[in-house]
Amino acid sequence: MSKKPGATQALHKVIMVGSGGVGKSALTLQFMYDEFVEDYEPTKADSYRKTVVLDAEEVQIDILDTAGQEDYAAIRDNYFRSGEGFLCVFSITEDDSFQATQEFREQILRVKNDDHIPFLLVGNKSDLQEKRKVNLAEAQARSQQWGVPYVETSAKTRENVDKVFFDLMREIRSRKIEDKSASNGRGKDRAKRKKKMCIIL
Amino acid sequence: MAVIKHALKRELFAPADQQLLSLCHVCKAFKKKKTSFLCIVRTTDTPGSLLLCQVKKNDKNVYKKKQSWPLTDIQMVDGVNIDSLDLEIYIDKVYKWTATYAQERTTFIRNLYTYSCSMPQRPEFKNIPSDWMIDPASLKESDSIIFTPDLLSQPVSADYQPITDKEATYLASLMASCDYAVSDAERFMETLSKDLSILDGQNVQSVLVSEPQVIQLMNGIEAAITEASLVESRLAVYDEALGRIRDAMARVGQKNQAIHTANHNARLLLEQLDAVITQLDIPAEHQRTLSEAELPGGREELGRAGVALLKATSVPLPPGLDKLGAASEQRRRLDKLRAKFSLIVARHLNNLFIHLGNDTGEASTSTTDLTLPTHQAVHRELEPYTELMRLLRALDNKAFTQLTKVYTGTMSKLYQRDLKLFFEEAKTRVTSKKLNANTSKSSGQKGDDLVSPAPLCLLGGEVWAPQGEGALLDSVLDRALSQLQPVCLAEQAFCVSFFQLDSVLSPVKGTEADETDSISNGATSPGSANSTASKKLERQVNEEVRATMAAIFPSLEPELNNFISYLDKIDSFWCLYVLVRLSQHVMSAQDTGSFLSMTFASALVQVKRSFDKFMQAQLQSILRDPKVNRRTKCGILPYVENLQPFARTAERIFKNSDRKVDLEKWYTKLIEAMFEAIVIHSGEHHKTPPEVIKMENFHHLYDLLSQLKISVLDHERKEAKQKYHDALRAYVIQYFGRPLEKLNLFFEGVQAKVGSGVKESEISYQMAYSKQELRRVVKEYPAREVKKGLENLYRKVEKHLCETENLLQVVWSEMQREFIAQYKNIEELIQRCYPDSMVTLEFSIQEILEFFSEIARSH
Repeated sequence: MSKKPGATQALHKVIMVGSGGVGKSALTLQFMYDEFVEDYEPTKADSYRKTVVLDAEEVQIDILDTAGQEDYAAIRDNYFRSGEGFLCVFSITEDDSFQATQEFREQILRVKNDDHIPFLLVGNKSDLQEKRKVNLAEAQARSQQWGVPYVETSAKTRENVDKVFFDLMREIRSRKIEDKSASNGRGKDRAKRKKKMCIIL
Repeated sequence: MAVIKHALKRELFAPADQQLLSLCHVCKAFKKKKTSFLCIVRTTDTPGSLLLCQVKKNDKNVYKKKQSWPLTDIQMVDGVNIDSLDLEIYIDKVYKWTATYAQERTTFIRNLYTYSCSMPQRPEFKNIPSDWMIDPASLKESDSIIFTPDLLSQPVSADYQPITDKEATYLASLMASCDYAVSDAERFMETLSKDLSILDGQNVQSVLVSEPQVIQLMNGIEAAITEASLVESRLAVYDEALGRIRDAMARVGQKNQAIHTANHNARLLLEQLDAVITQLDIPAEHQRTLSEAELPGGREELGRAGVALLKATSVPLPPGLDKLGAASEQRRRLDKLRAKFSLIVARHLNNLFIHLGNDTGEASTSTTDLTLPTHQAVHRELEPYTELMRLLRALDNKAFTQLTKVYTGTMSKLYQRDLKLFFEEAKTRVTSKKLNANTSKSSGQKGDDLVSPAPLCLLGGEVWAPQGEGALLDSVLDRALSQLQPVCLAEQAFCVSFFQLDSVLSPVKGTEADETDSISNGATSPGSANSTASKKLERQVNEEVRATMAAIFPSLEPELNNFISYLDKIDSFWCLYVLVRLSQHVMSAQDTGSFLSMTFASALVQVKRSFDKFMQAQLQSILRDPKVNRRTKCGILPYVENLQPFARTAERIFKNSDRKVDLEKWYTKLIEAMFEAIVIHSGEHHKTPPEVIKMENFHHLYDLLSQLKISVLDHERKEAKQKYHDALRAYVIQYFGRPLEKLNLFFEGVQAKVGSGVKESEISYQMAYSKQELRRVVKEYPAREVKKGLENLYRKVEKHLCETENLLQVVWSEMQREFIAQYKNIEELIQRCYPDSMVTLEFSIQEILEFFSEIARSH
């Protein structure tokens, strides 16, 4: 029963992206273990798996927590490739991290070759309002421009932590259903879309 | 001065009946050496005359009167000069003296003047200050003290008595009566002397007349004395008589006392006898009851008679009185009565016990639940006999003990039967549920679990799922344990009251209230008994109660243990449930000393042992019997995989339990064993490298421990994380070498040379590391080769890693970083060691990054 959960349960692969120190690991650990780690230790890459109940259905979520600081962006290609959905995190107290999301977004779209990949823009550290550098309107404008939801979270207070993961999983799930019907119906739809992207590139 | 004066008085003047009035040291003018004393002296014969004496001291130190003159002979006293000490006195001739002391001279002259005043012919005083010459007559008497301040002048006022005013008037009247007195002194004197002689005569006459009266008085006194002595002798006689009477009275008093004591004693004796007789006596109706009563009809009468009998027999006779013939006879009669009483009671109760031994008990109304019948009916039946039992115990302990044995015997049979049925029922319930569950699952695979007990090694076993029957078992167990409790407690409470097991606490004298009190104490809680003495007694009582209960429930402990070991046999995991549930029962029981608690406690010890055994088995199953997956990937080792459900189930069972500490101890041991086992087993897979096995398993373990949040395992959690990172690092380093193996070897050699002291610039002159060699090696790795190598590496890694841990991306990103780092390192070494060789690697970082992207895109 517990041996092969993958056989019966859906598995959603989520990638955490964003600049260094914005709280990707903190969000992940808070979601996984309900704990908040104060001391900062840069992550290289770490993988987590958890079984959760998503809308009365047991699913597995794989979280790949990635390095914010990477000398060569190309190294990210591989894990972007493996992801089914992305939480693009920045810190509302640091404008640079907000600006960097643009670059992450572009790289993801390029690697995934898909404009509609499940994606959430996450403004973390919402508990530090007094240090806010990125205002809400700015972030919302960007999310609208990208056509993705924008959520502000606090890994420290756990505010919206579950929400971002669950929202993303829902998107991934509906996307998968869509793909399935698409491939069942008109098998070449997805390939077509891919091709289009290639042309753009 | 005073000494001299005193000496003079004593030696010279006193013998001559003279009084020294004043004294002055003088010497003859111009002959200073020869001192003498001038003295004014009064002769004490009447009428006193005053003399002036010159006293000298001769060679033999004896004072001697040299000359003396009546004061009246002095014609003139000449002071010569106020300030000088000279003094000239004209008597028969002129005597010139010089005083030794001025003060003395002054005083002397003053006194001389004073004394001379009283003389008819006073001497003339010349060259004397006028304030020295004061007529004493002109002064009041009080002033005379001031006037004669010094001691020597004192006799003057004492001896010289001028006639007072009164005397003067007498004298005046006397003289007036003789009108001639003034004119004719002679005649006046005659008259006076005549009067005087007449008075003398009268005086003598009156003295003579008083003599016979004196004699008469003396006689009177004599008579009074004789009379007094007579009275005295009479009184002595009376006194003697009174003394005799007193003795007699004392004797009477003693006799009286003795009579009183005797009376008192007699009364006491009477009282005591009375008491003894009434105490030993038993009313006739009671006697009749005792010999003829029938149970159960005459129970109350018998009870009353028993009380009377007990009172009579237990009366403490005063020492000695028990030797009375009548008393011992009565005792014998009482003994007979007692025997009858005990016979009646014992026979009846004996029959009653045996009869009640067939009691089926009252099962609770709901038949679906597991129940242990209670025997309240028996207790109710026997309750009324409590009083009789108490009497019997007091009157005939032997019969009482016998009865107790009979009771415990019958009841033990009863309970033995009940318990057997009860536990049988419990067993079937547990197993039937399990059977049902299994069949309903219809998996078939576990159907034979009942025949062959479940595998002991849950952690090591291939498949293990927490069994749903745990909850059912738990409820059955809880039910069973809580069913035992009331039955046991009821029986215990009954025994305590029926057999007066608490009689130590409340002796025979104790009131009913006391008894009920201590019953409730014994049954529920040790109560508020504070003193250690009462605690000691309580312990004694508890021991007695336990012994009785053990006799009544001989099969409880074996049955319970049997049941537990049965459960253990069915599924050894169940001992966790039993441990928790039983501990809870033991801990919640307040009367830690009661039989049930003791039984539970000993069962608990057994369960704890089997729990430890179970855990030990788990521990061994980890190390032994690894059953390493023979498939292409090793993946997560079974015990690591199984830890999660195992720990979750255990956590659920031990939630809120006091026993959690025991579990936590085992957790630590189990995890430690896993750490060891992972390392050991990592070397046993034929395809997967040990680093991968370690990495994946430690990662899994770390994840699991983070999820479980078992605080005691926090240290192990961190350790697992560290081990995971170490293994990851080791794996990346080891496998990364493959795509550029020869290059790596070459530069490792270079590095070693540099390390051993060869200058970097001279490396190229080494045979093995010449530029040609470098070129050759570099040529072997054109970009195309490198790409192929990286692709191979990726595939290899993909093959090693299992799906579930999802570490591919983690490992691959780490490898990418490592590859770039090594590339840079090699480039740098070439720059340093072969600066001018113009040799570079045949591929650039940009190309590497493109390879990475391509690999990413192709998957």
